[in-house]
Amino acid sequence: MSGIVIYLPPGGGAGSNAVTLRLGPGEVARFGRGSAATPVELRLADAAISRLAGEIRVTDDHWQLSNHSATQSYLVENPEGAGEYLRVPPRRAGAPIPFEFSRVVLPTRHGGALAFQVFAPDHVYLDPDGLGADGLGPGGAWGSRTVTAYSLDETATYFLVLVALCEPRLRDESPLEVPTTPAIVERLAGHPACARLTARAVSSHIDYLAEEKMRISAPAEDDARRGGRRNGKRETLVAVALRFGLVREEHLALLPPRGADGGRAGRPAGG
Amino acid sequence: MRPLPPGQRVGRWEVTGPIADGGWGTVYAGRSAGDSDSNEVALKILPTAGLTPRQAAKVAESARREVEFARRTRHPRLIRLLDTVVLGEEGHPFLDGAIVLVMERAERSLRDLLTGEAGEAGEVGEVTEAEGARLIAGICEGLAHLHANGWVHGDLKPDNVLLAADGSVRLADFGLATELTGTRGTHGYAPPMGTFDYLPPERWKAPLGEHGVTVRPSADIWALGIVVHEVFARGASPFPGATPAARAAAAQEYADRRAPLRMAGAVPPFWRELAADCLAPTHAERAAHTAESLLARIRAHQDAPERHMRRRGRSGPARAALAAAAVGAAVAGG
Repeated sequence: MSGIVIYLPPGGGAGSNAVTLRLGPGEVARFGRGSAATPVELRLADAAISRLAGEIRVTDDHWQLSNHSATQSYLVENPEGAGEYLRVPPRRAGAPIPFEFSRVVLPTRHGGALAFQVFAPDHVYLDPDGLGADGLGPGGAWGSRTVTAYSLDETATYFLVLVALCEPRLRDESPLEVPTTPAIVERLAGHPACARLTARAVSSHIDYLAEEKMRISAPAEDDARRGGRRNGKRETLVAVALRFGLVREEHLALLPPRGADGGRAGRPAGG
Repeated sequence: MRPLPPGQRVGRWEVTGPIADGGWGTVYAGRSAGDSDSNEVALKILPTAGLTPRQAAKVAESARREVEFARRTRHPRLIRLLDTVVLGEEGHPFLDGAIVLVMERAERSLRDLLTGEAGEAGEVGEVTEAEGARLIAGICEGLAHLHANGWVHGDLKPDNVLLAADGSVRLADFGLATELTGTRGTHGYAPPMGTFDYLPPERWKAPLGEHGVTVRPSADIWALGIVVHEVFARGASPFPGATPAARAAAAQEYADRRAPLRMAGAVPPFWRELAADCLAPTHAERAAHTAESLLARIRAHQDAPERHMRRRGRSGPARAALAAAAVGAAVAGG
């Protein structure tokens, strides 16, 4: 349990820079316009937002949202959920938020909105193997079972990106090749969830996997030898995912079928 | 998976009945085939049929760790590996390619004792102080031997603490056992696996490299702290929460020093202090308490019943047992 990450894009806060906050289990961050008398951890610069608009508390492997507004509802959207969202009504205390990725949307004047993101990488997924009929008793008996301590959401876009990264090695096509970002964009283009996937999004998914989910420690000398930090990180990600069975042969079925030209002899697309 | 019938041959052993379904396989009771007088053994069957090559490799890796470990360490507090068999069973697809670890047979696990599943008389899971002391001393002896030989258990929990028919302790399940490497043998690398309720707080932030996560003996000491609490608190973790994720978060909150350690009132003072030392929030603080130093404290405590009796009025049987165990003059330990 390492907590959550809150990200406020540039322009939403007091300055022009983006703001990133990390909260550990049990920690609280208040958000709102703030003032000397009402300090907040996350300042949102909009006149329509209360001085203390709400608060975020990390609980177990998720987080809770309290809405301090007496009149406004807040929306929590799941950007990967095809329109899935929660409405947190005025004065609701401690609404549990079930999404690993959330976009918290606060209404502003003139029908506008201000949003920040919350990542909850601690979400727990049970191991696919080793769960017999007697595997899960009531009361969270899996606490006494040996499990993989790094769990990934196999329906998330980051998982598709990871499978695409691992594909050449899983298919035994190349023991060394790790696809580039443009190659991944192209490989996933046929997937309904990835039609609008950009190179920048792929890079953020890779960073999220490496830094928040798997906490990859890339060997420094590798970076130097291969002439790029990014490749060191990707290669370690692939090596670790395969070695510890986080990505397996059966996951290849999650990828869209390869195009007519994208078969075995397909060129390594992009740079 | 289809259960194996009694009489099923497994190498030169035969199945006599089921024991348990574990994470990676099934454990059966067995004996030397055709010899009904022979000692019972435990047959841990790790099937590989139907698995992808990588899954099978994971099972084989776990088995390899157990075998390697057993070959290099041997101690009365560690369950003994008697034989390993790789089956090539035609006509029994489930067994084809299965790896079988043949081990010394224990009567039950500490988990069974704490949850009362094996029919303990009296209150479910209640352990007297003397009995608890004996159990924890046994675990410490096993850990001290492991650590002295350069190994970390990596998955210490009541399920992996077995009790022989005479009640003596045997540590088991060395599938995550890790040999210490590094220039001074301070750490090793293990697969990123473990049991939520027993993982030290630093593991939630530990980086994952190509060899796995860094594991140090202090990880076993943390798990020991949880087990000490469980022994005296009828299996309850010192960390509050209804689910393993909640308890892991509570442990993290404590380790980040935002919440105090609140142990159950049932844990006697000496054990409360010992568990708190095992549960020191960081590896560095915990490193001061080795299995050996903890064992020395426990032995000094067991040898000093008078001091103990003055402090606690209740628990007659525990006192009697402690007094009976006392030999010679007592020296109060630290």
